[in-house]
Amino acid sequence: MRNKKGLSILSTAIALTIFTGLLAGCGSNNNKGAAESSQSASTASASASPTESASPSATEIPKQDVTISLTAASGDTWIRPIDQEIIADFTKETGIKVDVQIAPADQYAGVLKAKLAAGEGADISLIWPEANAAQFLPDTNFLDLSNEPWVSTLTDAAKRNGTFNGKFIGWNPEGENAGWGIMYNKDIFSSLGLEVPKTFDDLVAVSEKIKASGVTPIYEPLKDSWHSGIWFALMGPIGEKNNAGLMDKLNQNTASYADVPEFETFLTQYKTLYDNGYFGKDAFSNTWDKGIPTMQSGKYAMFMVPSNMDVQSKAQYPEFDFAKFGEFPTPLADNRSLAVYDGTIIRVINKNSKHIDAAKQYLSYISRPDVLDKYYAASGLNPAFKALPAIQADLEKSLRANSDGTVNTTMETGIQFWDSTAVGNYVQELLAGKKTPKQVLEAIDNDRKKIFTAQAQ
Amino acid sequence: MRVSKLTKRMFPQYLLLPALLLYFVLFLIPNLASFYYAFTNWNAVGSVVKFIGFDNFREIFSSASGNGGVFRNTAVFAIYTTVLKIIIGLLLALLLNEGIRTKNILRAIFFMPITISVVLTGIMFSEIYSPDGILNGLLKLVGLSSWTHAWIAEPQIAIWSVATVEVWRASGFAMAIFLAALQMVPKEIYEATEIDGAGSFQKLFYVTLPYLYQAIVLNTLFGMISGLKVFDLIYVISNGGPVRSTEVLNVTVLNEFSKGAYGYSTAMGLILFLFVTLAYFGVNYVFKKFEVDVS
Repeated sequence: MRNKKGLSILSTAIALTIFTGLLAGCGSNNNKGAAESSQSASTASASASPTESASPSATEIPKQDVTISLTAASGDTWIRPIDQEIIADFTKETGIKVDVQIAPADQYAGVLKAKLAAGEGADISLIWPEANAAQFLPDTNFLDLSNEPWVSTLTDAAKRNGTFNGKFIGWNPEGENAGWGIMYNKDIFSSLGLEVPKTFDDLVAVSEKIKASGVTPIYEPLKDSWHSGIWFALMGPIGEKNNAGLMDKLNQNTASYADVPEFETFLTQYKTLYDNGYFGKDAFSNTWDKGIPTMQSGKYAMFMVPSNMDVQSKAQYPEFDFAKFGEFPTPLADNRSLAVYDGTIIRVINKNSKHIDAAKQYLSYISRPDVLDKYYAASGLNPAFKALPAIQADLEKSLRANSDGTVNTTMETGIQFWDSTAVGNYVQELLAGKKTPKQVLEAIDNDRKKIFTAQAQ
Repeated sequence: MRVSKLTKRMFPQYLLLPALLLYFVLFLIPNLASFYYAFTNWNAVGSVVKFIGFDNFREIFSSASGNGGVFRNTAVFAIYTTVLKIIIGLLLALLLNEGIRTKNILRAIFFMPITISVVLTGIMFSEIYSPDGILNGLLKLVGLSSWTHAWIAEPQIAIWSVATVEVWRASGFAMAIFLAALQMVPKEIYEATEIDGAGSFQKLFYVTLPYLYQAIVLNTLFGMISGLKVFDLIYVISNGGPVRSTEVLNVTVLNEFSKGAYGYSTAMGLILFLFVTLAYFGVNYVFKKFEVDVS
């Protein structure tokens, strides 16, 4: 009996030892990690000040053993190859490593929101700018960078782009661009004697002639539903033009999409393009990635793309001759305005990061003149910094020339909680006959209502 | 008796405690908590999690949500794949249980699809099904151009196309279960039925199938549960599109989670859990009625 009791005690002790060891094993690693982090953070903190005083001699800073995380969506317009090169230079110079975490583009916003809500956001995140940053609760999650020395070197548009609720929160590399428009094949247009369409009726007439010639008029990647959302986002300026103060009212939740006649017209006409077969019979199989190679084949005449597509695609499609293409504003709802971007995706610092100083040091580094020279030489983007000359590529020049000269912010960045994928999904339900234009607008309003209500609570 | 005591001493039940504790902390508690969150307005933009009763469920089943198609797609996927996997798996097992020389190689070949990564399978079939893919190419080659389709881009047929991939992928697994069960059928019974003059079909229906009863129940359960819970294959091939025509419950759970509607998404997950549980008891209830005693 005594023996039995002894064995029981022994086996209990062994079980507890194994369990404690297991937990302690995990715990000690974490503690070590935390200790290192804390040490790294303090080192970073101690050494960040000289850099922040805008000293060009960053090489004098003692190297730090810190790793900061940076999260972005997949796709070359988020983190470009030159970004990776510059990150390697930054690490070489400062010792600070940057762990780049890429999430699939269609899941990125959701993953980021969840991580931020769980207090596990990366040190630096790439997010949509201006009003549409609202979905990530910038006031709660991101650091106010207004007093960083490099902010004063940005163009006014870039400052607007990085500002939310009166606070500057995000670094962005790109200056203002003319937004999206319909890229068209000049050779096809001239061989058929076609003019650039200025109204929806013009577009239908042009498409009809192109279709009759055996070419599919418009390459529309419906498999990527966000693209349909972008078409809609371009209607912001025409909506604002005919309904003064619309954007502000939408952002204050005092207006609804269902009450804007231009939006209903847009949806009806977008469906007309689909119903008339201008998107081709395989539009739902078409993907964004295959757009440029398909345009190269000459099987399609038009493709709705950003005005800096020629710059963006240079490295990926060096043989694609963009000189053969022009661009015009999407003339649905007879729109001729441009839905512009003040910049691009912004890089923000997590307020709860353990490595705030190292993250600031990274943003400071990528704003340095010599680094910017390298960045723009490789990317060809229109700079977001005053000291550098503004660039306008040929496609953008063509788009601007074909517009009526009026501009406004695209709804993608100018409207709180805009989600191109969700909007695109509703638009596609319209194409399939599952929803009427009015029902699409009501569905978008319903989603927004839920978010505003939740936010108010 | 000594062995029994020794066993008791070597493996006292409280050795299970650490594992049970981990199971509780990492699995049971989060899952039970999700039952509660399904009844809240938990979301990405609000700071307060409020109990809202059945509001999430009312919305899920409202016509405005458009979720009717999601339930239909989930049911179609689960039932279609289960039935075909059983039929094809059974046929393959019966064929490969015979004295074919290459039966071992063929068994391996038919079992292989389930060992391939679902992501890889999805990418492969996205290409096969594309308008310029192999399937349409083959149809054109044999003069059936009018049968060509954009297999995963036409809303009317997309769910059937994706479900067929699952049938291709998992029929070999059903075959393996049937093959194992076939080894349990006593050879003497076949001999006896042959002496009695039974034909092939009579042997199949009166001898083989009764012996395969348990394997059929098992395959039906596996098929229904994996069919209701399907996610990865659909996510890779069509991501629920076009126009939600291939969207199943787990895809909606992810989409709503991505929108930041965590409470709503959790409610969807709870519904899926209930469906799986119902399917389990439903299948058992139905098969109980046809239970065969071959002992």
